[in-house]
Amino acid sequence: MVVLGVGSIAGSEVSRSQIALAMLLKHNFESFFNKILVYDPVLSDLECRVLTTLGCAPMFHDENGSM
Amino acid sequence: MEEEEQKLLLFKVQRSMEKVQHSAFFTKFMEQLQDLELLEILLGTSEQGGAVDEAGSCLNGAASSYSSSTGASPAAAIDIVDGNFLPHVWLLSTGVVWHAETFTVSGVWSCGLLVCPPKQDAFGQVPAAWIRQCTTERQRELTW
Repeated sequence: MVVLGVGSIAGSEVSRSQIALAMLLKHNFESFFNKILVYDPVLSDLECRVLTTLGCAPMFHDENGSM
Repeated sequence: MEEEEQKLLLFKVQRSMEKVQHSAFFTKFMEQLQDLELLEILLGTSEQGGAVDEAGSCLNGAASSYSSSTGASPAAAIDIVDGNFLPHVWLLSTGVVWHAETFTVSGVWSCGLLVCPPKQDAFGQVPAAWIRQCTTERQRELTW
């Protein structure tokens, strides 16, 4: 699963809800989603660490959607 | 200090997961997804001000990628014009959905999922409605 432009999970409840949904989808469709890639230029180091702790894989470069 | 911030943010995300999981929206959403058999999802929101252009750039890239890989017209971002979901929330229907069984990119689906914020009473209504509409449109497009 690729999550692009999710926003700041530290500063936005909306963003947290979106990433929460992504994780719940992964949990419920485990056979489809082996990982969650996350990219948003607003994500801070702290947010990236939390995402990693939650099992997501933050990306640090804009892949232009070509991943 | 930073460790405390990390714990706090972790707690907030986990709390969001609980809220989403127990929402009517999530139940409906899961029902829809069971039908759609989605493999890849792209989510996007234009809410984050300064990062919009950059985030939009990567999402537009996804549209181009979709277009070039399938030969289809890139699906456009759809603004949800609704009293409760003005431009904050928009959907990118730009990804490629791979059929769950064949794992082939047949190019017959444009992928898109709306992820809306849990605002007001409408949380859940728009996604379900949109997905239904999208499903209908996709069924018309399907060639397999």
